[in-house]
Amino acid sequence: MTETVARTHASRAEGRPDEIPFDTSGSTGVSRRWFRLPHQMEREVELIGTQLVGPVDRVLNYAPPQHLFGALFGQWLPRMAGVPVHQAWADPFAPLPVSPGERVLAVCIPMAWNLLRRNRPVLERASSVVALHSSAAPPPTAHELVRRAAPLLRAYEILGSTETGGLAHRPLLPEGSDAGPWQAFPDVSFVRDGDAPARGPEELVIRGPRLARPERGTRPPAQWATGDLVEFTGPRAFRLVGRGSSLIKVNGIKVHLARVDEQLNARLPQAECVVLPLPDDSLAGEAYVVFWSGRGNAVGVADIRAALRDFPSPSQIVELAGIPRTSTGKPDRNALFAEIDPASV
Amino acid sequence: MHTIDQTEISNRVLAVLEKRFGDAARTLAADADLSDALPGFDSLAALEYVTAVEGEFGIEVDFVGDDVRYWFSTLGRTTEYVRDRVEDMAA
Repeated sequence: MTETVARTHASRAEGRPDEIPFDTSGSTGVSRRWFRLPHQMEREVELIGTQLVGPVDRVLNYAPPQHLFGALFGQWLPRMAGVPVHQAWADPFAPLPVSPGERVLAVCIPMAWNLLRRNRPVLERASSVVALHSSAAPPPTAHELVRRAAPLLRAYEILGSTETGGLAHRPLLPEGSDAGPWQAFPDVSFVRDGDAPARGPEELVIRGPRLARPERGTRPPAQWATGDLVEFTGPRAFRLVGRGSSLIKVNGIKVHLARVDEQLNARLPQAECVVLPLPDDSLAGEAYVVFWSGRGNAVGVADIRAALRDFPSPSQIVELAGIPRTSTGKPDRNALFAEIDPASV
Repeated sequence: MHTIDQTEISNRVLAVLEKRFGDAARTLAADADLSDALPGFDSLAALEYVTAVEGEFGIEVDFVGDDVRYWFSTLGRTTEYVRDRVEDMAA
């Protein structure tokens, strides 16, 4: 009996033969393992492929396939559609194999856009390019390329996670345009508190057939609290306010760090900025830090402070040569926090 | 007009690497392969390295025309590449 129990625990943790394991990146907490079934992968590829992508002849994949987004569109979609895929994430400097007249899908994480911009003459051989973007906010280069390469290129942002798969989408538009609210994919439903006020931020909780099985569970959860704060704008649409954990109080004033992020990106598009809450300090209270890189542009700490004059001041502003990122392009929190001078927090 | 010599270029390239890789970059030999010598120098880090060098020297690397994998594989080659580009710009 003990042996059976042990084996059951082991098989749950290692996954059943038909399950596909994915680890969360750990960028917002401890890395955990989740398992998906082939039919969930196929369903997601068909759903997003039909709704956003359309027929393609070639895939350029910049997303590492050990993560869900890269596996779905850099492995499963090419296999299901029977089209060649170029794994650009493994060698970003290799020439792009795009033939004249091809319909191309580019699977993008933030670093992809810099490369696509440089390879624009190659992309222009294609008859159409659809870009799917996920994992972190698109960089300014993405918006710029969408403007410059229209109508050849159209792009979409996918909101999702290892736990949920794709939840919602919206168009990725040129800089200065309002992308509008996120639209939920048709098989995703919201779980809302009937007593919640009609307006104002609330946590995004969803149900759907593509939820993954957690390492320590026997089946996927019935519903999943994403940790995102949203404002619903329609029955199947919402605006993202930020992460639940990104709402902090500085000297008694509520600060949505996602709004701080937006403000910096809007006022200083030439700089790369990341805003993170500092670990809670019972003496100093809640606080946040701005990491930034001028990327060779004439931006200074005074510009950061001026851009944030509507917000409580950050407790630190840390200049870096570049923002360290994980393999999926998310800011690497561990590397960033290692840059903080503990004496000055 | 201020021109920069090879030593200055090499020092500035090394400083770019040190900001990202710390001590491991500090003892880097000019001909050491970066992907072997620097833990974590993967494809993403290589791209960040090229972008940071561009920012440091105000140049734009031609990803289509130049053999980026070759020129940015060691400190010495990167220095040589940057010197040529800076000289081209000054000419």
